Amino acid sequence: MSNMIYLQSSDGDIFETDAQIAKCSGTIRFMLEDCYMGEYEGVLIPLPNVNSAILRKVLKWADHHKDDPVPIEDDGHSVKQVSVFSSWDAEFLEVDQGTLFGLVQAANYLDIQGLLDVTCKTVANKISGKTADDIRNTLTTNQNKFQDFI
Amino acid sequence: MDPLENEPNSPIGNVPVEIFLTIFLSLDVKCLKNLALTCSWFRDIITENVLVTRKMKLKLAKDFWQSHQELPHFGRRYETIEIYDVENSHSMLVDLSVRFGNCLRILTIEKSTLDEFTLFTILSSCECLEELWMSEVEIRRNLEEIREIILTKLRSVTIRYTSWRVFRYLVGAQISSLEIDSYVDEGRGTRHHLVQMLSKQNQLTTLALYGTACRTLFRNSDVNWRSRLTSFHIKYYFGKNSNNVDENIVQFLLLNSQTLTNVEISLPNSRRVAACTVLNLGNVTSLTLQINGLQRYEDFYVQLANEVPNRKLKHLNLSAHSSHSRFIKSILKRYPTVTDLELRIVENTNVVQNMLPFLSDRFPHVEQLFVPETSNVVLTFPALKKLHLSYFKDVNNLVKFIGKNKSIEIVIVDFVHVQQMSSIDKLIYDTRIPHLSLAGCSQSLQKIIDLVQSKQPEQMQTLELRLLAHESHEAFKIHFPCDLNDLKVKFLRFFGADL
Repeated sequence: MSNMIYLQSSDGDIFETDAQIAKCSGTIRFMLEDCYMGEYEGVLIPLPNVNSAILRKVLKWADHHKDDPVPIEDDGHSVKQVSVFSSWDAEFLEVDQGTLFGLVQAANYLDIQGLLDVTCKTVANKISGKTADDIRNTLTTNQNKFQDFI
Repeated sequence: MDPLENEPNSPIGNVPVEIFLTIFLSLDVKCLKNLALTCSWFRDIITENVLVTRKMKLKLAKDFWQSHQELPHFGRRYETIEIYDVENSHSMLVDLSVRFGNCLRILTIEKSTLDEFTLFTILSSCECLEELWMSEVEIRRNLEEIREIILTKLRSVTIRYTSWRVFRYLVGAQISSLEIDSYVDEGRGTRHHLVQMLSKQNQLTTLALYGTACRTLFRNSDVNWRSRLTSFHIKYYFGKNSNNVDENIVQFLLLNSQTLTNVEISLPNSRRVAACTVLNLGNVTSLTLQINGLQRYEDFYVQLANEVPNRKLKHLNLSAHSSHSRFIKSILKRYPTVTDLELRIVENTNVVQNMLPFLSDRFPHVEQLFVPETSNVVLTFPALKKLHLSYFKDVNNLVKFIGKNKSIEIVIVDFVHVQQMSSIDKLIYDTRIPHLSLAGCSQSLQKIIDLVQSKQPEQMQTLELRLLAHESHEAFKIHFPCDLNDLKVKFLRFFGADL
């Protein structure tokens, strides 16, 4: 039986999604299980730190990975890093810098370890092997940060 | 318009520092240095975080010593120092240990000459030292008696091609891991220093003896082993131990038989030690064993038949110059739950080829398999994820094997002949392996690059190319999909003059 819930982005858009898919997020899982005590059919969860474009992509990623094995907890704290970066993930993350860092932030805020692993790895791959100038050009979304060294 | 473009705040600026730390920790030091040059914000993250700065090393080579006055001006408190190619420079080395000694965690000394007093002074001032690595260091005698140095944090010691006199200075440490590699008899006249040090160790869990170190240490049975080991490695390539040495190794193995889990016994002619390893180490989970001559050891067959299988062993690496499949099968039956299997029979690869049906039948759970080459008959290994081959004769057989075993994620081939280049496209384009690693000569690799540059593989995620003559054995990695335009330029730049 599906259990549909609603997620509201920072810019007001509302997304309907299956609770099982949304529960890949530790933040949402905590809200559903602790705040709604398992009775969450049709609830609306506001996500003030994620805009609609990013939330749409996060849900697309979560839907694709809904059947992945549950990550193993290490000592009850952190989860194991993903070892395989699938070609689907690589294609999914072929996005501009703004979207990539938006996904990093969203994965961190929503506590989605798998998405955080692949987005961080993608950022690392973009930086790796580049000179300081190349890195500046790669991370062009915030020129101000680099102003003092240019 | 993409709504992201309307974001008032920069996405990078909103990413928490701890996320950048996670990213930075996966980068190498060269890249971190470049990052630190991009802006003060990144520089501060890199220079102020202990986890990141631990990746930074101070490397001191001969050239440095001509301008050692610069030493006090180093701002960073390095936790790792590498000293390379230094002739005895007491005052400068002592300056170094005074400047960094109280924060130094890892000390590496290579191809250098030190006198005993200098070594004593350095180690005495490095109270936080956790790892000591010395290779090709000449230690000149100039101290008769020394007081014990207390190195409470020292855990890991590696001594290669260096006089065992060094162990005189480590008696006061409680190490957990010791590796000694000796080329000739570096322990001659100094063996008693190691014996004395080992006899005081209560926390030693890992011991690795390479080259002549094993023969020198086990010459006598005078070590008072106070701790029980979990990991033991011995390896050398030539010669034969005296019966006395083999007997002492056997006694050592029996002493640790309940605790040893990770064992490597690569002795070319010590069948008694090999037999003891198979028959007596029942808790081993990872075993690398050279089995030369063992099949002629009649008692071994009889005793092996009476042994209960070891169901804990997961990784098994058997090597020999030559062997019979019947003999290898009898050893494999002792370890029925192996998931990572390596069979390295040098002289007659048909032995392993003929065994593959047996492996497919008895080891369907194998996840990683190394064999010289696959068989002509296509066999099934339903759990196989990683296939490692020395070479392949017929690419069609290999393609069929991969097609039949769809669980395979990684294929590694140690040598691809230049004459096989005409058919290598079948391996790259007709299989669905995510990761492929190939090694060959310059001509072979250039042909592979040309091939890939003309057409991007659709299913593959990573192609690794290793140049056989390349000094560092580092692989050129291509992550797909990628920009093919400058692929060849990057490839030529990567291997440089070796091509």
